[in-house]
Amino acid sequence: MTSHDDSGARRRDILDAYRAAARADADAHFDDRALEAQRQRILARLEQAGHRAKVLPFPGALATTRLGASTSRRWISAAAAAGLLVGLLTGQLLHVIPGNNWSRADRGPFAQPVASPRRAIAPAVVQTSLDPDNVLLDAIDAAVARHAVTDLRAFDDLTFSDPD
Amino acid sequence: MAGRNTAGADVSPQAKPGDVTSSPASLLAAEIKRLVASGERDEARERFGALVALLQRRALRVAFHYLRNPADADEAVQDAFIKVFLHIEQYRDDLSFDVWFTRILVNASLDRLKARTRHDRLVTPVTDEQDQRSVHQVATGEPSSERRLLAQERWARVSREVAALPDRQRLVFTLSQVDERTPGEIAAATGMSPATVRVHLFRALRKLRGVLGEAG
Repeated sequence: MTSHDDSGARRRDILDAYRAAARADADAHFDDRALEAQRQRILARLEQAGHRAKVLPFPGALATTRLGASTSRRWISAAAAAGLLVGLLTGQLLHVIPGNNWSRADRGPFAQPVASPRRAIAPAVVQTSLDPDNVLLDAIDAAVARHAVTDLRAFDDLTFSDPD
Repeated sequence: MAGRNTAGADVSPQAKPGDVTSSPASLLAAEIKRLVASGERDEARERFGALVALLQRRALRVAFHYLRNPADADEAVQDAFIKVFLHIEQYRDDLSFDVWFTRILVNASLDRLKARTRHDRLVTPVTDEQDQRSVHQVATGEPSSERRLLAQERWARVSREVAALPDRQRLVFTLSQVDERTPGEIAAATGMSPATVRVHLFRALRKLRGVLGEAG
């Protein structure tokens, strides 16, 4: 028990010696002049921290620029939509005004309506489905019906007529 | 480091009855806090100089023995004091300022240690062959009378063994032996539980048993 106490006391002595040596070692690196210099540096840093720092235009200014850009973009979009609306209304008004023929007259050759493929195909289908004799008779009837065609009268007289 | 808080802003050191809040540092800190709160920052900075002078040497001892580098210790102590002033409004007057400051100092030292680790990955330090410490770590002053208590060779060996301790054990050992902090204060300053502090301290002393025994 005594030896245990002795070893404990000896260890405490050693730790006390270590403490003293450690403090002395640190103090050897930081003498009074070094402490004063460090204190002045700390106070200088605090003084700088108290002043408002110069703010670089990044990233705060970038955010402002982006905000401005989005605002102008909205204005451009609104102006474009308004222009489109005005154009549509003007176009509608030109069609509504009575006696307005100049628009059709000025269309030119490129403004001719183009027949849709479905409409172009439909008559052809009808024609092919009819009998060629009927087509010929229809054509003759149409020609006879014209008042200006008198040459065909004689031909009509030669044909057989119903006694009824 | 357990319970680490970088700014030391919301550190809640354990309240201790008695003289902790009436210590010179605590009284000064409370006064500085009042000055800052009332907008008298110039006056607060002036008083803060007195607080720095009061705690500076102790802080440098702890930081130096934890970091094992005077330049890093100097930077860590500066950073710690800057953080203290910038967050002085969050200091609770009813608690020990010393413990609050120690915690901020430990965090600043840890930041410096991490920065040095990153730096050492890129730069290989030039070492003194005699004791394997960096050249700039060798003391420039004359050996003091206290240092003569341990022989030069023996001191170098103890110092190397302490430096070789794991970070937590070295931190606890330094706060306990160099700064003479109790396990409760170390627990409050590091965020560890008192039991964990005792375990780290026990392990550190066990590892140092060889060199400490020889020292006798």
